[in-house]
Amino acid sequence: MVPYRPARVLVHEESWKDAATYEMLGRLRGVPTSTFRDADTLLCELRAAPDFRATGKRTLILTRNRGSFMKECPGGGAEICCKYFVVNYALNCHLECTYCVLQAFLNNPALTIYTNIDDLMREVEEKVRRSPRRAFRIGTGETADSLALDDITCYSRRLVPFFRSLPNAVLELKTKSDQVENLQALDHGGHTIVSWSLNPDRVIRGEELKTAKLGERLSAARRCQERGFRVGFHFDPLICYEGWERDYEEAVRDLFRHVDPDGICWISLGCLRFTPHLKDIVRQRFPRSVVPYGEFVPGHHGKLRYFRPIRDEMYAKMRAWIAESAPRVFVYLCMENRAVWERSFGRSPASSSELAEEMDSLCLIKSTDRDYWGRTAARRRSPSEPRP
Amino acid sequence: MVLHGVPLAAIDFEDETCRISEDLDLVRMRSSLEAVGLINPVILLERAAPAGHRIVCGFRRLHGLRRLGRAEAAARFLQPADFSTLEVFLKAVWDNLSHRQLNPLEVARVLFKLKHQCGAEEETLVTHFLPLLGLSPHRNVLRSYLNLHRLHPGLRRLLDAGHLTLSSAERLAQAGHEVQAGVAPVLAAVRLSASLQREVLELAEDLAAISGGTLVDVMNQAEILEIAGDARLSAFQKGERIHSYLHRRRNPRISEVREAFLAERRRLNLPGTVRLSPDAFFESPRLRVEFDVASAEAFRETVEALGRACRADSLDRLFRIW
Repeated sequence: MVPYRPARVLVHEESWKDAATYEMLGRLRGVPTSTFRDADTLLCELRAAPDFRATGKRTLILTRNRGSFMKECPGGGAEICCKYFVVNYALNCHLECTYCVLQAFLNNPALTIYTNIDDLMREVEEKVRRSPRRAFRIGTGETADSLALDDITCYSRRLVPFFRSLPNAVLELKTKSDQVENLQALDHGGHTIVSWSLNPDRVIRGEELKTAKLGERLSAARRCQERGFRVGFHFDPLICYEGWERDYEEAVRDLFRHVDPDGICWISLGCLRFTPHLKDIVRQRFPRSVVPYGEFVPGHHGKLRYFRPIRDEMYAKMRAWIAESAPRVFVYLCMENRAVWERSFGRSPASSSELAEEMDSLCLIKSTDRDYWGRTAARRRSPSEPRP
Repeated sequence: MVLHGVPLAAIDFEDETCRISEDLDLVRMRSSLEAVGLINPVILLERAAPAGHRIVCGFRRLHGLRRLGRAEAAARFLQPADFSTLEVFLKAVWDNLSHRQLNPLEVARVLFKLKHQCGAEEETLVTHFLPLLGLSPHRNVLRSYLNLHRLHPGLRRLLDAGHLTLSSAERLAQAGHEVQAGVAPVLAAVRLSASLQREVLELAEDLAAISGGTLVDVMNQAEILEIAGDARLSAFQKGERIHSYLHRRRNPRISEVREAFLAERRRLNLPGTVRLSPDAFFESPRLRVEFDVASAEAFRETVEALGRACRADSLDRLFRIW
């Protein structure tokens, strides 16, 4: 992974009240730093540059989040959805994935990190404790990579022990980096899952430009397993191109050469999806990308996705390749409909709740082999297995 | 104001430094000149022979007079020493803006000349001249219009005639001149609605990117040239066929499934009153069956036809396509 080093840091005047600001600046010695007050003027300045989506990221903004940190995952509108929650500690990512939806989604091209991390934890704790009978799977990888900035923020050192204290919640750190040093000494208590978005090296070279290579991600995953973390993997986005089968099959084999299947909490599969506007951006910014040239149809929320038989085929083959090496690993589809589940996996969860419940029991299971609600590991199964 | 009768031979018609108008040969202008003569004198920048005087305001009037075989025109002179290039050009801009709306190609020409001929800063163009020309003050708008000025003459004609949308023209203007020249004849042979135009260009661009070729390679394929040259088809039919051909090439699997569905549906021999349609983009196996009847007899006939369809093998195949 190419580490992030900003050309300048702009600190919002209120963020000088937060300890996290001083800690981060301490790790960015030598980078010119100034204070700002008016975000609107700053935004206009950043967006005036011709390739503002690339140049904007050279500016790191440290500011407070005045809104809510925690929300339901935007996949919630899909027919079958795992009912995930996201917590946003930062906005934007320097890893330059060609297909990244943030390019079309964020109006602020700078990389922004929220300094009021204490407020974030307070809000999570309040929401999680308010519903003690409900399980919360919470990820930090929606509007930023969970670990790619961890050498600057070191937020994992705060969040991992914090989630250990929440009996009905797990934190999922989702990344394309290999930056797991901060995690090694942490007491996670089984309440943090470290997960990697995976793709074959060919896709990584062509489409995930500054991320860690596949081998580096998998070595990092093994290091985490060795420290007792459960790990997850997301083959998302699956990208269809000539020869994808060979590359993805090899990537799956690579995964199980590095990682012990018994320590895998889940593997998700999700085909590429993006907005029509994003397609234009990708074409303009990354003319060599293959991403815009699949057979797409409009789907959920107006996003484009591969024509259904293509998705069926990709999921079914991926599921089979995974099952060859790890037949008991839980595999699920992200933001898909019931028909696609049935076609590619042979069965579908009856509802989003059933999938969510299954995943809750997987991640909140304790060393006693009983989960938070007293259910045993015997209940663990993949949706592709017959129901008892 | 001193007016002079200036021989047309003393005017440099080749010097288009201050030209703004896209069409210099307006029939309406000629009719007016023929009927009542030159009402408003033109403005010239005085220059000694042999160069001849530069036209500042009145390109269309002077071209009209020349076409009518007139020998001279009433003119007012500007002295080069009194005005900068920008000041002279602004007279032409204001003269046009005072009595008409500029079309997009003319706006593009004004912005291009302000930038490259008069040395106006981009910031000034954005904040001052874009609003003056009725456009939003954004750099992207400026970039887009500066590109538009590079549009190939064949495409300019299509835009001017309303056969090419502004957004399509802007899109094509980003391509090289050779590409524009290669695409223009095909586009001139067909008519496409605004949405089909956008789709055709997008499909062709995608196919060019997938094959590693250019837009010209795609648009000049034998199949497309054959459709464009088919005298039996109207310009609109040609447009639809080209769209359909490109769509099939760009989306072979979607097209294959759709065609298989249509073939099986035909085999069911359902009457025209029955509509049988798949789920959008075949996302699920659901089929929608609708029929519309106006009498009990028509109802019976339709249900009987549906009953026959129930017994046909094609019905099962219709669901197996999915």
